[in-house]
Amino acid sequence: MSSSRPSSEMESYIAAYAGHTRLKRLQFIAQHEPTLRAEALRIAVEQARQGVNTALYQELCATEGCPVARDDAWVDSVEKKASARLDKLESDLASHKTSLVKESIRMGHSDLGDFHASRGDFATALKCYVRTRDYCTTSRHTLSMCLAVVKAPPTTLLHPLPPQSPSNVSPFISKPSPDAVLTAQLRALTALEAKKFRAAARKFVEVSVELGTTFSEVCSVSDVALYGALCALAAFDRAELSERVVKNSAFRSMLELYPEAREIVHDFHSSRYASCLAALETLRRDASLANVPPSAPATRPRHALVQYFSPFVAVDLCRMASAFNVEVDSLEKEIAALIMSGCIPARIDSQAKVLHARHADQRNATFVKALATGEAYMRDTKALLLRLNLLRADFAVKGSGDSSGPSKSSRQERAEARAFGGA
Amino acid sequence: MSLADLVTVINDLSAASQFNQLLTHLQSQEEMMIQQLPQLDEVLPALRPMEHSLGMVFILKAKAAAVPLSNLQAVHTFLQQCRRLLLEGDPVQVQMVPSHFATVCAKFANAAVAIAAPAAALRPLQHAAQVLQPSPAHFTPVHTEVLRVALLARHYPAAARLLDASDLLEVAKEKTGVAPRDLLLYHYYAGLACCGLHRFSDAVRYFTLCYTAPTHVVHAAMVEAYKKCVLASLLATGEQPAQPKYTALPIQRYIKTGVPAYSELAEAFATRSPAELRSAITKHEATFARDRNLGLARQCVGALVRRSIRSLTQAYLTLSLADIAAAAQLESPAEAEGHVVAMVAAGDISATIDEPQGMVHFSESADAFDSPGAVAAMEASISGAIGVATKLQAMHAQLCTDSQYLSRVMRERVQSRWEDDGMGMGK
Repeated sequence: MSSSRPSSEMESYIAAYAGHTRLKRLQFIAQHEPTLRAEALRIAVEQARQGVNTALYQELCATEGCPVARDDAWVDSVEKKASARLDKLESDLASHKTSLVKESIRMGHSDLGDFHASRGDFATALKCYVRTRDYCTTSRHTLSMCLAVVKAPPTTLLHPLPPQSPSNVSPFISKPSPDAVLTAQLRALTALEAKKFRAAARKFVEVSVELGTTFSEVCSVSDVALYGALCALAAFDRAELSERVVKNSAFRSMLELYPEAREIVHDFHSSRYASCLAALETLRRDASLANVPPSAPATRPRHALVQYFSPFVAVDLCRMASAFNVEVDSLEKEIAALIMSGCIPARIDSQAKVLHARHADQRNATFVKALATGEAYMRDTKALLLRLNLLRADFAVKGSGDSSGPSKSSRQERAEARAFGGA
Repeated sequence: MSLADLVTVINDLSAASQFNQLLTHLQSQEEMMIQQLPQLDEVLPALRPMEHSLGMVFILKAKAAAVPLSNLQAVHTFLQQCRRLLLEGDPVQVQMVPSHFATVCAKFANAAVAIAAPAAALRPLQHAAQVLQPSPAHFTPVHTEVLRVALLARHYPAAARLLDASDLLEVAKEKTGVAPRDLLLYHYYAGLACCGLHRFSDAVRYFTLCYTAPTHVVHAAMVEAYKKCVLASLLATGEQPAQPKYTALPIQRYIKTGVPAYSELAEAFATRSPAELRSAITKHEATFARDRNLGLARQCVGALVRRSIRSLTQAYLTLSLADIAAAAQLESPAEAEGHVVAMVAAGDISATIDEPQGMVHFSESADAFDSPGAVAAMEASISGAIGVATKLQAMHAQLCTDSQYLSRVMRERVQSRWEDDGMGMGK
């Protein structure tokens, strides 16, 4: 949130979310935005009272500057009701299990999972949802199970998931399912969780605006636009970016919902790196990006650098630095790293601060490579020939008994083997 | 039967070229020779190595077990007697008794080492190795002895000559009396000799051959070879040695945990920080010193610096000495300058230093592959590769007609056909 945002904007922002995610977003705003803290906390506490998540309620009330006093009586009564309901659900499940009806067992597990999720115990909820896996009979069941698993940790967007969940989910999503929008969304999120930005970007751009509010418990449509744009920047090259993002009408309408993200993509696409980087810098302070940055910023400027240099034979590093809005020295280091990793075919004239494109000497390179390949071939083939001969002659080193040659004591030999070490 | 009679028999049968008969006779007389040890010295001068190799091998074998290495006089006599045989022996006769001959050679080498004159044993042993070989591609235990003696004499070029002369790819237990252990030590010594000559990539090759040999147990030589292989590989390529898939399981398991000092050294090298590398070396100094690897380990520091500087030449056309020092994590520009000068002198990189400005100008590598030398090297490499491919073809042809192989393949084919039928009936 940029600091100037008024509270009305917060309300419209928050309206895009529901359930636990909404609470968490509000809590995040309260933590990072002093001017909106009281308002955010008030809404959050109200929201929390409608649910049964007493732990979060207490946490919210305990936050500094909370305008609402804690209602202990309410907490007690909810706790009592919750434990009674837990007992009932568990006994239900047990009776279903004895009756061996698959569908009932699935429902039982699912209900138990819903209960834990509403209480804020997502680890247990996840366990319950994953248990339903064995009792799924149709693909719709499987899909609802996957959805439940993704929804279960609504911390998705603020904290990395427990590592086991994406791996749990992904094998099942691959099955054909009736709801294409949801599937694309699911795949994108799982890929994002696994830090596979390229796959995530592909899936995000497949999501269309029709997603609407069906997924508001986890994220809003504009979030999809933002994540999609960022993942695309991190993973796609220029051609792919233009084809899949800029010219993709479905995703463009999505981007319209998040103008900042749209600006960044267009800046990048039309090579206005400085404004692109500056916009990214402001975005990074936003809550929802807390999960994305770890590797995205590392790869993004690299893409930009490679793309910037591609049409030139020689580039003045100072001008390049001003285009990227960075120091010349740090730019030089970054480019040197890129050259060493083989991304840019160029060499730096550090004295004159000029980057020269390198004309690869194909002939020389071919000679060097041919010689190296020949040598490797000879080395490996000889080793294999020797090995074949050894195996044919049954020439393996066995126990100490047969390894000693004629009249040589192996111990003496070992001592001498040591003695040569200084060579 | 007395020794005089024995000499007569040797003379007569050798003259008649009835070596098989002589061999049987000598084998029956081994006991007697050992009983009459003191007189053997008097008999030997009467025999000529070219004609009476078989007899000499038996007599010297009998002596070899008994010569005390502490008695200088006895050792000298033994060396003299052996020299004649090793330098002039007849290949046909010698190859009839490979293990006896190998024993004599081993004792000869030990004797030369005992009087601190390993260099004197070098030439006789080199010749003996050739005499014992059924073909130039065969291993013999004597080859191992040659390398050992060459190493002890610190005469690395002699070892290199033996290694470069031909590729030893064949083993024949009966014909040469070679044991798996000889092979391990041969490759281990070969690696050491290459380290001594600073031919580290060759050293890696030999050490790898040593520790990847087929084995059921972990042999001390293999462990030592792996340790040195790590160091040589860091020096040659800057990376850990690539372990071939076929490395025996016990070895794979052992080196995963058994050599922590070397694994840590390689990890420190991978961080590209000389300070970390130095601290890793200091931490395990005792281990390296015990394994006699401290010298190689210390060379790694220099190799790391050179590697960093060389990678800079890829990225930069000009770079100040101060920046080089910073990038390679050296202490001062002066130190960087020293390294650059040494590397240019060694032909590692091509660069010029602008002293007043403190700038280094790197130029691309000079070798344009347009000299007769380059063509010759290329041709040598091609013909080498063709040679190896021919060997491979020959072995393939040989295996294709191998009765054991064929019968096995046929059996498998028949079996699989049965299984197919079973499947078909099931359907």
